[in-house]
Amino acid sequence: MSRKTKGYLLNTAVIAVALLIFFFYRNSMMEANNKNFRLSVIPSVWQCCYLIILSASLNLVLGFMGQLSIAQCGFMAIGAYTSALLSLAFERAGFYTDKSGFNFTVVLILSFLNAGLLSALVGLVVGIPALRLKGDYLAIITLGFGMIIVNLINNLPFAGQNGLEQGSASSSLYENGLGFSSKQQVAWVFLAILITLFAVTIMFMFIRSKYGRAIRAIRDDEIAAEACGINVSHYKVLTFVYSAFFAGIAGALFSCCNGSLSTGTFTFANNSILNSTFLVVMVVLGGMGSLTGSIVAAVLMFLLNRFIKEGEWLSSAPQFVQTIFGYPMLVYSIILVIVIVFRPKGIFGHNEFSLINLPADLKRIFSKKKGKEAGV
Amino acid sequence: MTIFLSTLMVGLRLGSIYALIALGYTMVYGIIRMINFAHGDFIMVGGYTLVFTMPVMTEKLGLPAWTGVVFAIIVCAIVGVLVELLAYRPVRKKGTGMSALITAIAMSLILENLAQAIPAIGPNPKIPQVIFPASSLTLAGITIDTTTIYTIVVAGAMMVLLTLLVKKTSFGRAMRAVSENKKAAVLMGVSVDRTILLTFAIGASLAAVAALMYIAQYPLVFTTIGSSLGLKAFVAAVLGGIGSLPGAMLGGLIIGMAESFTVSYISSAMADTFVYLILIIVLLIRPVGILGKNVREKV
Amino acid sequence: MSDPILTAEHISISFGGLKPVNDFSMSLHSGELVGLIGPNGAGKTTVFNLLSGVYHPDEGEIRLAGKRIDNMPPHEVVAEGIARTFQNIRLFKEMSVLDNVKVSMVPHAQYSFLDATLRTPRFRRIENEQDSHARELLELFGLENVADELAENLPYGQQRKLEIARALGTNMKVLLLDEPAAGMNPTETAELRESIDLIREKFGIAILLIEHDMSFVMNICERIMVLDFGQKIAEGTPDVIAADPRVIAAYLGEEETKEDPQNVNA
Repeated sequence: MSRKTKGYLLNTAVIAVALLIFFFYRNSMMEANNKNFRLSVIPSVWQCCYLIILSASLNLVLGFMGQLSIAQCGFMAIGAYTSALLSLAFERAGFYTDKSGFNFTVVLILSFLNAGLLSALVGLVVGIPALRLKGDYLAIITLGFGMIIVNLINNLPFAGQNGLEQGSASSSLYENGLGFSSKQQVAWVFLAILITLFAVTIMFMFIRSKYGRAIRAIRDDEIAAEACGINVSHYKVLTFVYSAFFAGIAGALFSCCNGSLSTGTFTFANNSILNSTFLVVMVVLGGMGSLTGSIVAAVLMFLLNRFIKEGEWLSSAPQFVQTIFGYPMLVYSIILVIVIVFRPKGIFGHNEFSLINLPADLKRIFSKKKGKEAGV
Repeated sequence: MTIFLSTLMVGLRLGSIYALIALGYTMVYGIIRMINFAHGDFIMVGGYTLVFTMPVMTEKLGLPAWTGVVFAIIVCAIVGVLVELLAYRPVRKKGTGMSALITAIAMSLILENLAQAIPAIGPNPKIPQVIFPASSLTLAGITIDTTTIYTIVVAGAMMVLLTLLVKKTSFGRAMRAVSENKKAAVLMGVSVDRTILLTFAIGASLAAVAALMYIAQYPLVFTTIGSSLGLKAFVAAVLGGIGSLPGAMLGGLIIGMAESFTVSYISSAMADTFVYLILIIVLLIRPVGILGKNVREKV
Repeated sequence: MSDPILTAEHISISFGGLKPVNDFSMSLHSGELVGLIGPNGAGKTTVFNLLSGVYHPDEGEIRLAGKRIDNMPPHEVVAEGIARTFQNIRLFKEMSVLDNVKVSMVPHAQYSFLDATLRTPRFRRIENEQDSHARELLELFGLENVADELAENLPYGQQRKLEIARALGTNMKVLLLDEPAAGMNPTETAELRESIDLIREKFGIAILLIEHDMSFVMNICERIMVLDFGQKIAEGTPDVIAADPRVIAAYLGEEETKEDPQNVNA
């Protein structure tokens, strides 16, 4: 058995054990009817799940292919609205009544698939013209397309701010369609976890194949990649579409665990954590070109955001600290600049975290530290 | 006919302001090949400086309100230089084009949010005092307000000055040398870092002047004032050919006209969408813009 | 002699007012090793860029095995069978040495998206085949021990070799080498010669190379073409070229400007 296979098996085994432990933990918490678990832990798990998918999918384009796209939240918006509207339509048609059972599962699967596929389709339409440009121009044109997507959704008669007929979108989702109440979020938490695991796994398969090699080559030197016979625009558009697909899936997860949908959530920069800049921070922090890095950074940034927004430490902090942390985007942008200036590679650089390498990595890190202390 | 002519004047006025801002984008791009996403926010910096300094000028010194622009220029130039020194330069020396670009986006957000975090500014918009007393001129049957005339004249004068600066002075020569070839410029004894700093200072000062002219017409200053203005000016710079000074002026005028005529003849809600569409079409058909030079990548 | 594998007929290209390649014709047969020399700025690299599809000629035709290739984008030209290296090394710096070579095999990896996602036997077979093929190519250049290093960490000479190994991964019929010996020390140059001999023996392909190291070109090439101001001024065996007065004039002209100290400081 090769070291690679061993590594895969080890990682899979550890994930399986962790899932099992979480399963028993959840059941005991449910029996105890633990409020904190239901209202705080489980929603956090859901949020982390879609943040992980988002940052990993953006990393494909930004980190592995080296193209800065700031339309990712636009694709997420498409996924969120598609799944919400589709599930709502099925409910109104009387296909399911309560959120369990076979019929509802079918609707779930359909909603998620369609969310991904429609995002991918729009990704194709945007990607073909946009990816003819590079660098600054690509950033600007994706910014433009992202805004157009959000504006379009806003103006659709059946979507938009108040479009989901029975009152506004915000009030209807918990009651209807895909929106899960906190109890349902506990019941369906494994849906989120499994979808995330599944999505990350197939992104890994993509990266560790000819597709991954082709796009990393494009990142390092486009002209040389062409000289190696790589159809650069083909692979660029393909990856862009692939990434948009997962952003759509993340959007569907988002609409499951949020009672409300509003296009304001998906704009370029706002004070919630769902904006394209926040995503770029996650990818850069984790390491452009490291999927595991994106996962770790997504969880870290989620915790940081929570710490800033809900931390009790803040009320006892000096006034100016409170003011600054009252504007989380300020904190995130400063983090972004600091990371880019002092550690442009992020936490992991191009490396992937794997348990089998852990002992060796730890050894290296510690010997480095010792070396530094000794003044080497 | 009167509608047409007054629309034309509004277009000229808007266009002059966009051109002033676009010049800042274009100068910086010409010299370091990077889009300074934070440039739009220099307008916001200039706007707030004016809000705070104009009362001092009028009440304490008895000078006209617009003299506050001196402080706005100074503050904007300092902010521009700081942004370059603290963020862009370290990243440029170390990183790739990608990290420079990400830093620029981050700097824009930092400026906007930092302004909000300053207690004297806060999240609510501020209303500046009247800058040019309302009066108008009637010429050949149409009435033009004086602010419009001032705006067009000032913008024209700034452009003439800038052209002279770039063409006739030693700084202008240094700037052109650095944008042509950095290594050769160093060999010729040009201080690249200093030239870049000065370019940032001048670009930011133009944004301060643009801020004065803009809030003279639309008296409201808020922290994100620069993002949509900046974006339109950026579209103007790209349209004219980024890196080209006459291109920025031409692009500014075209975008100003397009916006003014869309508002007058189609709908005001469509104006922004229209500007985005122009951007996307230009980028796809002729990414180097109207007056831009086509640069081949060397193989 | 059989039909030539690669021909260029009267190709020209102009950028603005410049005509870096002007009415250039050539032919290349399988198994041949031909040198393309000329002073700096003579248009040698532009010829390579035309042959490899980076630029398209304004006039003239380029044919590979009889098929017109002068309007194809670079990746299609590669698929037809022309591989190249670059004057200023263009490796995939942040990829491993092995992956650098495997990049040029990407177009030959005949597995689908689904195969890659599900890790089917087909996927594993093709990946394994490419892996061992890439390692064989690395071995040709003595790079098998650094297969897992990042390309950017290799010393200069090995980077040049890796670029050739990568070009060989494309299944080419014609190999274009742009200054393969530039910056190499004499030992490395000697090793490079051996590798080139080995390539010819093993693959039987045609090689066209640009080189400034005259002794290298004179020793290794069977035929030499001389370019000056975008035009071919001489062609023949090394002996003929060495004695050609026009070639000597073109080169002396260049030597003068090169060594003129005032020119450097101006």
